[in-house]
Amino acid sequence: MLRTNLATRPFYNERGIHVGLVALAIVVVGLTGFNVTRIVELSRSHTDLGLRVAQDEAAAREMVGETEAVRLQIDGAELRVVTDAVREANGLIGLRMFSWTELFNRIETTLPPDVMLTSVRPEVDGEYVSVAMVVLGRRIEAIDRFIEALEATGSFEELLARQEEATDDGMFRTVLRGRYLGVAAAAVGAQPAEPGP
Amino acid sequence: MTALKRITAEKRLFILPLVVGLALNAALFALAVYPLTVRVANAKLLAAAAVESLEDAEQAQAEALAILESKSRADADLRTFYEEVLPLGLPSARRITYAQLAAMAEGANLRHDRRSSVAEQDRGSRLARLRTTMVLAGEYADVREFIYQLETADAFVVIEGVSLVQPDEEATSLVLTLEVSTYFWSDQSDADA
Repeated sequence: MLRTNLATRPFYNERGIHVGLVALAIVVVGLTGFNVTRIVELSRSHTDLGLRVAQDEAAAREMVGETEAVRLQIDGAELRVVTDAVREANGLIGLRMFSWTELFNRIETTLPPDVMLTSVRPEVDGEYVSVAMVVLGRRIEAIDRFIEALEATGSFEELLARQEEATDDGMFRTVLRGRYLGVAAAAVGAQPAEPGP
Repeated sequence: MTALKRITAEKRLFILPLVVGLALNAALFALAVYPLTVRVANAKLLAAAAVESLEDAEQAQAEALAILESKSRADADLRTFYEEVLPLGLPSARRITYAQLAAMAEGANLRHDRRSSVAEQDRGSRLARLRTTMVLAGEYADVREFIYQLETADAFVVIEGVSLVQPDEEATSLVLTLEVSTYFWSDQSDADA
């Protein structure tokens, strides 16, 4: 009969411990691999970034130098003179492109019989063309009808009777001024409109 | 003796290298991987700043070059305008506004009444202007025809103002006062400067 007390020697699962140790070894190897890989990657990345920073800074410095050289070639006063000359030339071209025939066509179709146009003067201001007109009318209502009709064509906007006076022969002389939009169409087409009937 | 102590004692040949390996990995992470990660992050910030300053420099250079190029183009365009579009000088401008305008008015059946001309130059302008005021008389349709001929002519003549007067209510003939100008290059502004 066996008399040894087996409970005095603690029992543990040998295979479980082995599995655990192998798992731990795998973790250690994995961590080592990760750390080594990261060190290599980060070192390479750091070197590359340093190189790129140096290249970019050198290129920026070189470009700043070149820009300064270009700026030295630009004389501010001369540039202002050229800018003013371009503005002046564009203004003249705008006036040359202004189609009087088209303007007269529009006025003829809108001028009431009891209103007479006595003077027209365009003015090019940047992109816009303003037109000042002097008209003579027997009644203010007729002049007002003329203003409304002009704006209704879509070729004029912001028309205003700037000044008005009664003449000796009982008529009203009115100075109208407004923005003329018809010039855009005239500028696109090379040929001015044909004169009206 | 507890089970853990017994396992540790019995398996120390395996456990010790694993613990050392873990400790070495922790040290490697703390002393190399983490500081390198921080340095790379800083380097990325520096690289981004360098790229930004390079882009700024490129933009500044492009703007400066664009100004230079547009100035050169404007100079060339202006030279073409002054030399090929506008009359070359006062004699050429005078030929346009004196003989050609009169012939054109006559061709449109307008009666030539009077005319005045003045050459002037705005301060700071490169261009001088020959301004002519013509007073003509004729039918409205002829006035329209004359204006059409004038604005479709090759010569650079700008109609600056038109004034129409009907002498009396019965008259069919109108008095046309026409302000026309032509421009020509003048080096007067350079001389002033």
